[in-house]
Amino acid sequence: MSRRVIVPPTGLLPHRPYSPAVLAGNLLYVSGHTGSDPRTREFEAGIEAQTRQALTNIRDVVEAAGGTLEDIAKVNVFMVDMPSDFEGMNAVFREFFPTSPPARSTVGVSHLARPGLRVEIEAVGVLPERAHEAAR
Amino acid sequence: MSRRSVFIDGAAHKLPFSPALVWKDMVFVSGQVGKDPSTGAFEPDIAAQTRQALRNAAQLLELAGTSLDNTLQMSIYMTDMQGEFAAMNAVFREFFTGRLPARSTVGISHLAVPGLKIEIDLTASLD
Repeated sequence: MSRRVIVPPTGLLPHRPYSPAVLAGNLLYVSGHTGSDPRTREFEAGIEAQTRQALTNIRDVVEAAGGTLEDIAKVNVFMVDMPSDFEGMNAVFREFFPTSPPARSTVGVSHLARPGLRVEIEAVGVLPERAHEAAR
Repeated sequence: MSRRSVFIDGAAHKLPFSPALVWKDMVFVSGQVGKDPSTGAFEPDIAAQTRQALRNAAQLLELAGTSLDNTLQMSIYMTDMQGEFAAMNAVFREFFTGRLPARSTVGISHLAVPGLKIEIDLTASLD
């Protein structure tokens, strides 16, 4: 099976010992992304801004693989405060997946990598065969 | 088009994701909790919540054209794994008597609504 590491235009970060995404055949596994800016590692405090940045990061990776967000089949969302942040996350999620949205699971976790991070999002996509060919 | 969203009839689903998504020969089932899909009500104990979550998943798979027996991988998230793992597994065995899927189970700090104890998602093949 063909296997390719997908790197977004912002590049690889040296402190991360994993790939932003791996494309195996036409299956795309996107690593967990937070609301952290991929260049500066800075992040805003609010759930809406963090969700928007996390989904923007994922979109950049998916597009680098030759796909679009419409190719995402399943999303997992990890949140540190679901009762407070669920609604805000959902509002932004809807902006990114307005039609035929993916399947999704969301769970509350005790913490993320850095204090202040409120959400981490990972995804699995099924890319069209032509995208897989283009990414070679 | 080979991409199709699956919904349970009568379920009040207002969230921005598909309860299940069929893509070619794969079915991705969203995280299911122990809520009745029509009323949103749930019982307090882990056995009842596990049973309802697996019923919901089974119903979505049936609507997608497959069944729990074709589950490839399952993730289970629990708010009290140390206290409730055995009770969850007992119910799990009621639903999986033949082929067993790959499975991960982790303890989490909370779910969307206080009182919810378990969320289950899975990936299945169509046949």
